[in-house]
Amino acid sequence: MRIARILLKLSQLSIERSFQNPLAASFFIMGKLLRFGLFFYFVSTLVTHTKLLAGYTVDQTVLFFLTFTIVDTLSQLLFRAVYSFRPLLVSGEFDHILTKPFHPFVVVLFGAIDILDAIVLVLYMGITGFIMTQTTGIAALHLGLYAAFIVNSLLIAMAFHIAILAMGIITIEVDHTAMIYRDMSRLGSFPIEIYKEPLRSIVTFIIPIGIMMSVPAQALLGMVPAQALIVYGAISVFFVGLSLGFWRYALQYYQSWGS
Amino acid sequence: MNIYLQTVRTTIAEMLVYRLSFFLWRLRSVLNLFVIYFVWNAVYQETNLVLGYTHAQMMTYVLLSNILATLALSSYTSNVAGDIVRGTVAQFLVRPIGYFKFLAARETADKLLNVSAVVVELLLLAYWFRPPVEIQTAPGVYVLFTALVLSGVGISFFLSLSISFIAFWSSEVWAPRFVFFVLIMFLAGSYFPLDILPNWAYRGLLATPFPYLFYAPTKTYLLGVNAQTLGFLGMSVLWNAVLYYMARSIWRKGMREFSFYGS
Amino acid sequence: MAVSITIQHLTKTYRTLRKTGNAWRDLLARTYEYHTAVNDLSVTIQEGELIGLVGPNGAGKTTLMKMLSGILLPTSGTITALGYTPFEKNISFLKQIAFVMGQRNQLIWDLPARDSFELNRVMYDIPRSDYQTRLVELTQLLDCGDIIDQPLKTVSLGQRMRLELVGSLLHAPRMLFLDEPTLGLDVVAQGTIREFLRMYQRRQQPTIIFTSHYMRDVAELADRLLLIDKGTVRYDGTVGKLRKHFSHDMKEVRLELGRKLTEKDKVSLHEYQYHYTHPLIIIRVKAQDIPALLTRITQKVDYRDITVTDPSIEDIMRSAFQEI
Repeated sequence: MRIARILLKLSQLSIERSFQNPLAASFFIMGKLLRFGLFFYFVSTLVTHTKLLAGYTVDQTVLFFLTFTIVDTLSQLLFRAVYSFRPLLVSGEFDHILTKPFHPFVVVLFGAIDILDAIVLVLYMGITGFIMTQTTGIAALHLGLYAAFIVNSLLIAMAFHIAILAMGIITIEVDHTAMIYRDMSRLGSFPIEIYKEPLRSIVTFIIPIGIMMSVPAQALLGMVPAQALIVYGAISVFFVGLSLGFWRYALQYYQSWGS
Repeated sequence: MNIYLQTVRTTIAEMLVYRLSFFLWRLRSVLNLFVIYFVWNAVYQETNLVLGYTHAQMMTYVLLSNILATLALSSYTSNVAGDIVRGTVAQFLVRPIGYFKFLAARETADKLLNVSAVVVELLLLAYWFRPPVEIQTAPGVYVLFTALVLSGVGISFFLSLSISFIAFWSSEVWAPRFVFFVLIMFLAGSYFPLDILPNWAYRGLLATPFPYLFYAPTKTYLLGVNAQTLGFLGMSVLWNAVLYYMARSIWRKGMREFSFYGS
Repeated sequence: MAVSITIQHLTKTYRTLRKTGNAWRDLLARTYEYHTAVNDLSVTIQEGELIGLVGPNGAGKTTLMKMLSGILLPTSGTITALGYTPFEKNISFLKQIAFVMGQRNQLIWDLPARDSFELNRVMYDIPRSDYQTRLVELTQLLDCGDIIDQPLKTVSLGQRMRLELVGSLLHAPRMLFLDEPTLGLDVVAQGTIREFLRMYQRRQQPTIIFTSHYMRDVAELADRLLLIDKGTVRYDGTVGKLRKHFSHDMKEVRLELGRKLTEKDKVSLHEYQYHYTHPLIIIRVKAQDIPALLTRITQKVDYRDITVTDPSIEDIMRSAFQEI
């Protein structure tokens, strides 16, 4: 389809641009790997010394952390364009995007699919796969559910990013909102059982980070029935709908300041 | 002196104009605090001694370290890179104040505002969750602690400036800054006390400037005044001097070679 | 001729937050300021017209164009363009329009223009053969075929504008919006763009609406002039009629003098409006009074050269803006 071709083209151009500055790109990858490595070390040391974290063993806790990393990386890979949205608003380039014959999301949401993230993603998936073989109690069904729930998580992530874009149109403030989203999602790098009420309920139902980050890992460990997928799926579709409504409202409000 | 005082006042006023931005930045700090509090809380559910720290000690360490991290990271120095790339740094050079001193004044303003906010946030957290903490009573500890904190702030200031000055040679400063940020968060000891690392790693880190940002002052607060913590102060001050000279020479070199075009 | 755009009672009011500087008031008891950029405007535009929008800064021209292209939502009123409501942004509508802004690039900055053109080809679903033909034709007309393989940031502003035009026309839009297309360009570059637009319009017959502060653009390009001020149309007609309307049939007589004017000479000219910097004197006079003036001049004044012209379009505009 045409949209697929446009995305492919944009992706290709984005990669070309990355290669124009290989030093910065390598620093960036190095930084990500460093952060992952250090945090991984931290988490495993922690849990090794305490044997249990909110009822989960070391391996299980690590799986939570890894799942978080995979969802987070996938979400960054797909929605990186959101981080470049503010300059588009300020310069007035967003006007141009609005006059192009496709939905603006093609550029401002999906327009910067990043090869650098794909590289580290493969690494994370490899490590996760390895840990999975070390952990007992994982059946094939669970793997299927795991994948399905990850897709579900990406839907929620998409809803969040659309909301960030809409906020950006109304307030021009994009970067901080995006960072808050990232910080909040980091709440999900540990099993949400560690959080006390009312934070836990907020994180699960009002701002569905809990669903996004924790549920896939829980499903993998066989703790979530397959039927739950329908419920959680409905919740994410609902949030996507909500965010789209917010986006439509924002467009009507748009005043186009870029002189 | 008046110019710098005025700068402080103006910077605070500027920041209050960007209220939404400030609010969101504080929200992020609070969220970060939550994660740390809850994670460590969960860890200590089963046992009371982890890696040589009691619940109270670890909680004190982590919360205090978080305040210091806020202090160090609220900073204008990242804007310096932008100023250089855009060429607007030139306007600062024609004004009758030292650029370094000007930056320091802005830093002070930024940190003042953020520290006030963080104190409020911590009080709220304490009221809400009542985490166990260890409060020191000996006044000597507070003196040493303050000295180390100030010294740590200096280190982070000069380090951050040096990174920003990369802008003189390349416009892609964001990448090294990202790595810097990651390193700071871990190696400076804001997630966990550095001495839980294997001995070789711990010793190695002590030779770098990083531990003196957050680990040294916080650990001093827990341990009190002794030979080890006084040693921390010594190293910290030394690093301050080294990094000051480094930042200054990079600046001088940059000034000589730079071409000042904006885009 | 088919109607291309119908605008009826169009209004756009901007709402901005009034900042009192008092933190509490700004947060809790918000007050807004309202600015009406376009006010009950109604215009009909036929297919194939070349329309110039002029008016003082802040008159509402750019707001109008942004509503016509679907970027902004009108506060009230209707717009029908090519049979669509622009704000709904139908794909079929968007495929037929192009929006070019002066001094701003849609082409990708650090890559060669050709890559951006390729992207446009995919975006607008242009068949390859059409794409090739149009690319060659446009780059020839605009004389930029040799620079499309260089990174965009390495070419000059004038060249970038030409490339920008190529990129915007590859999909042969039926409606073209140009916001200050010659802004910041040197005189030669401005002329090139104007010539190109004239030629392109003759060949392809799209509807073109452009704004410009350069009066030459308006004078030489626009078939029809819309003078906008404070959000409404103050004048709608040809450039020629504008002259008549606002110049009140004034003409300019330019003389290159031999010797300096004496006080006595100046006295004899006192009933005329004139501007004198030796050796040039420009006298503004009603067309019907020219014979009388010429008689007086030829008898009394020592002149080397004489021309009779219309007042410049800038002068006319100036008096137009002042009168409205």
